[in-house]
Amino acid sequence: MSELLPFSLRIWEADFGLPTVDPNSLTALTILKMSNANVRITYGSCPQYAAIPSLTRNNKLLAEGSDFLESVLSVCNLDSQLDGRLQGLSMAYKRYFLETFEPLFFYDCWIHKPNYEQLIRPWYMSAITFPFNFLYMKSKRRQAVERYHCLKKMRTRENFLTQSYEAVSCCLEDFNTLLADRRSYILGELPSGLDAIVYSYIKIALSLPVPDVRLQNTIKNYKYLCQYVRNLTRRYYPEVEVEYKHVQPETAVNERASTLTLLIAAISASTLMMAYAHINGIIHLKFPKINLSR
Amino acid sequence: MFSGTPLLDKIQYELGAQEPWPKDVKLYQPYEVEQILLPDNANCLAVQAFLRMCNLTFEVVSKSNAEFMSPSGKVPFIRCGAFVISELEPIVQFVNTKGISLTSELESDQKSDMRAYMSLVHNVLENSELYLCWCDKETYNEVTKPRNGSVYPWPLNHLQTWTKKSHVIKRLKMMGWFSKTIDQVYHEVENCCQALADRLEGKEFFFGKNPTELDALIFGHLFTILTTPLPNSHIANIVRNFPSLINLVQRVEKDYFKRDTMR
Repeated sequence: MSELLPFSLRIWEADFGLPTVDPNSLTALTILKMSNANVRITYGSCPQYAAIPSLTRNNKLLAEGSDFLESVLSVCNLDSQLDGRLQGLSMAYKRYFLETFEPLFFYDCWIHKPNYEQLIRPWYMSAITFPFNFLYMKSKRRQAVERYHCLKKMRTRENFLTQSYEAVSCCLEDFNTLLADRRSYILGELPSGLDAIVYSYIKIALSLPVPDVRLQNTIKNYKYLCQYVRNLTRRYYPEVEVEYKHVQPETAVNERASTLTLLIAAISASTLMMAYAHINGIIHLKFPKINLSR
Repeated sequence: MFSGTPLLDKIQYELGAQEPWPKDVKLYQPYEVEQILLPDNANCLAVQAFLRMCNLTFEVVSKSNAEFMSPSGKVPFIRCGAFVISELEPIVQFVNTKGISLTSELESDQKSDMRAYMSLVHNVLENSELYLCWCDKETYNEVTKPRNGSVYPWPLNHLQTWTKKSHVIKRLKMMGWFSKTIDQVYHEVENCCQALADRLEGKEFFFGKNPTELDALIFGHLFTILTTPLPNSHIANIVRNFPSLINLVQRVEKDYFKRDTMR
């Protein structure tokens, strides 16, 4: 009987043209959609009241916390339609993607200063009810810094970033090669948990209006992967429209200088260059003589 | 020795590539008999297997402070001329720059699969071994604590073990493994072995008749799990349920180590 009752999925809000802004929330939602499950979505704004994301059915908690995704995957059992070999392959590629792409995505959002201060922090501060937003962000930031030091190990920040971008490029290239034959899903014609994970992370990474777009530009180099993400968006989320609820893109991207500022800067630069050229004899400017003798 | 600057490291790599493999390469690791722990032993054996598969000469040097000598803080590491490189993947990359590769004949999708399975082994087997050594009370008290502290005088043995335990627990928490129960860990190991056995499909090695670094990595972990005496042998019993993996381990040992310690 309980099998017929709908799942209740509590996730972070939709924004920036995304069904939800959080990778775990989007992965769970995509898994449920791929499984054709009956799901009721609620958007949470206070993680202290009830975990976000979390999955319940008939008031029974099925998934939350650190093993949220694993629990959702085992509840939906999406990979069971694959044969044994493909199930193993799906498991291996899931670990590969999460071990390679996720740490860099995490760094880009929660540690990289411009992105964190201009987009991630303002978004969560606005989306979570006051005063719980301060408590949540304080603990989340502390955890993020701890995690970053654990990931970085003994490397410098530059070394960590160089090695992470190299690993991510190699990983995305591998997925791009798999998708080069224009198959519908990564492992063929059937969806798997791997598709939900890869789709969610790439879709969010491409859609967030972050000031530093280095990661987005890296992803955009892989055209089959980007096409695959567009196809899945059309298939599972055709109704989602691009809107900006909590952070406007104008404040998220670097502000463009006004026309007046540009004009003043251009005149000043030209004047200085002319004066320099004139003083050094590169050009000779003739000024009309004014007769003062009368 | 690496400079810590990515560009300079790359230039040094390229320059190093022009030189042949020296004869005095040394592989540093902790003492095998009294000190080394399960995860470290697995990684050391994996690197040794890889170098032997590449037919490269090296000498194993046991040092009680090997992990503190390592540039990444992890064992093993090799010293090859002016270069000091630690862990399997960077060593594989370094060997590749010398024009020696075990994967040169693989198709691009096979290389992708290999990287994915290596991630699986690193993630599941290495974290399971760490969990078993540092979070399972019985194994920690009877094996990990005495072995890890064996090379230090009192009270440094306790301090060093305590510091290392807190680092490992931090890492396991970050990877989402600390909250697992021991049964969940065993379940993960079983799923991982099943995935590997399904991929092996009765072949000699994972990608045909010749071994790759994936075979070396799996050999390192499975051989260590099978041969290390622990208070609880459940993890070894799980691996024994997969005859194709046992065959692989025996084949690598026979072909590249020429010892007969497997049962």
